[in-house]
Amino acid sequence: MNKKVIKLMVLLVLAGAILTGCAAGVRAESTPGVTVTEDYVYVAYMQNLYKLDRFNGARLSSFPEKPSANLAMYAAPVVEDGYIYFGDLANDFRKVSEENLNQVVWTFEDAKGWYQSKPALDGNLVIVPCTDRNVYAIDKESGTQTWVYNGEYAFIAQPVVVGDKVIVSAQDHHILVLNGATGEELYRVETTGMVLAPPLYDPETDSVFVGSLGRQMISFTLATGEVNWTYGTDDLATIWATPIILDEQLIFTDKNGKIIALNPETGEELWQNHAGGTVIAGATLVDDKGFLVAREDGTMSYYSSELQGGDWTVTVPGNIYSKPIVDGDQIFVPVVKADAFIYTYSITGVPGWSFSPSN
Amino acid sequence: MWETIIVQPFTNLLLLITMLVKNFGIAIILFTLLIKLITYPLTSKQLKSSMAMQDLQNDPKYKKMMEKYKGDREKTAEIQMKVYKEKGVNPFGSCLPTLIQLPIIIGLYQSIMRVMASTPLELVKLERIVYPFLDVNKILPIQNHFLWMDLGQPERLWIGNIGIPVLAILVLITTYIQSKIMQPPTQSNDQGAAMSNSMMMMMPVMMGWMAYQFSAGLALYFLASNIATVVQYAAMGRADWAKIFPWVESKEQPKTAAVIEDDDEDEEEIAEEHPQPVKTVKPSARSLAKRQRPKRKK
Repeated sequence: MNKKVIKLMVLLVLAGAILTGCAAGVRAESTPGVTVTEDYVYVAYMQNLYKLDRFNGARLSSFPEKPSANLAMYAAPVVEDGYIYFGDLANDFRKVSEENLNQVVWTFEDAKGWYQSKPALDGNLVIVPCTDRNVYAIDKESGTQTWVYNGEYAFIAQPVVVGDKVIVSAQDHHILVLNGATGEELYRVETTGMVLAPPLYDPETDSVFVGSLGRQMISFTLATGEVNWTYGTDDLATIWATPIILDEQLIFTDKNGKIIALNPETGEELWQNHAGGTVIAGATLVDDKGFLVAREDGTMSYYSSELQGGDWTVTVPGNIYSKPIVDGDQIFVPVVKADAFIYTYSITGVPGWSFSPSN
Repeated sequence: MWETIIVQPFTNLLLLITMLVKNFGIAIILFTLLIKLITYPLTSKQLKSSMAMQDLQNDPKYKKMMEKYKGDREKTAEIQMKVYKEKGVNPFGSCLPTLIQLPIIIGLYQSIMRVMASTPLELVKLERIVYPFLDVNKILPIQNHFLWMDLGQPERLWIGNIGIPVLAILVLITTYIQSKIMQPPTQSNDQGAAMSNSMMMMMPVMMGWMAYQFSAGLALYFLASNIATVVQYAAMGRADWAKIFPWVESKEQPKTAAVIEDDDEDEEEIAEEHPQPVKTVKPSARSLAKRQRPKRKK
């Protein structure tokens, strides 16, 4: 074989490798999926699910033992009774042992799409949204499908289980309410745009609150599906995250950084503030006393409900697209475009550990 | 810069077509054809240039001249340049359009990937580059389902538990057809032929493999692009279907005789202007006899 042919082959292989790097089937750009338990932090990011020591960030183990280029995972796992349930971008959903992540109890392989959001637990079932336009209910013991709901678009938000109902955010401009035992659609509530975040349920008023890319916040009664109120103004931007309830105020952010508080019963605007930059991750409740707003550029501020202003601010060295997790006296912030996947802070804003596989 | 000039307009155009036809699969096909149409002058120029070059390479007299001055690079280059000039062939004519098309192809590829956003982070990025006159809320979500395919996933046609990569197979076949009908006629023993043959085997396999691995949307683009190129080539009357279908009559080459007329005088003229420094290649007895033979008319 002459040199030119060899050169040509090398070039072709290189071109293939470069293109594959750009767009291989299982690769998607997403944020780390983080779940915090009493002792551990689980981080699903790229080719691994990591189990970390909650207090010092030390890596304890990871799944799989040998990372594969064909495997990627971004959905936060759910942990219950010593088992972890999580899905990946290779169309597999697994139950593994919390003790040994590589001890797989079962794998559900019936889906033809990616798992991109945290599943929800409902008694004996684990409810899993999938990009193949289905929501699956899988038996926790056997790993077999109990029911499946067929939708029109990919499901990418964590479902919310309330009693015998499952509330699912759909991309087709609807919120779906399903029967938790059968998967039958009980009713749907129309929104003005795509809903990408899980809804918020308030047990005191039996109300569901959800914002959409249609620049609208909506409230409806779960029992009846009746819309209580809608909120939307001309200068309201798209809403990407779940709202919070603090001191009888419904607080949410829009993409432009506006922080808005409404009366949850009437939808009447109480006050407005501004985070000073783009906000995708929304507001996160802290200790029922205040809330955090994390801007896309990494600026994270704490607001106490009384002051309605920033009490402290830290700059996280990365971009924030998903909600920080507040658990006990720690704040866990998943980031992208940074040296680490996750940064931690105390609830007073003092930096703690960070984690990246290389360190 | 790259984003603003290439990716953003392409993405918005793709979204606009999707909004009009309400089907992302059809939008990808239309978008590919539209881009092919826009770049047609470049492609046509490139094809014509490479055809002229092919014809020249196959011309027996040109070959003879090249053979004659084989050892003298300077002389060979000079004769080449002279012939190129006379016949109006630009040796870089096929490279320049390719270079210009390259950013378009990469931009097209990137915009298809952008529109197929499937995670919130990708949707944030998509929303950011949509022009204000396109209401993102009306466009999103994009229906990724087309025929049996999920355009955001690698394509498989599921029959029971067996997933058949139909699109990857079609991409492999059309890439092979494209390479085969566009393959320049070369002699079986030269380097060009060896390269061309290995490329003809490697390209379809590589494209098929990429279509197998990548999302169906991109594989659909590969397929539409391959078919459009074959049609374009056929429309220019250059497709030799006999290479694919043996029962079709071959349009065997060429017009080559017309490319270089009797250039013996020119050849001599060049040789006189630039006498061979060390060795003069003498024509062999066989080639002399060949020269003296009367020319056969086809």
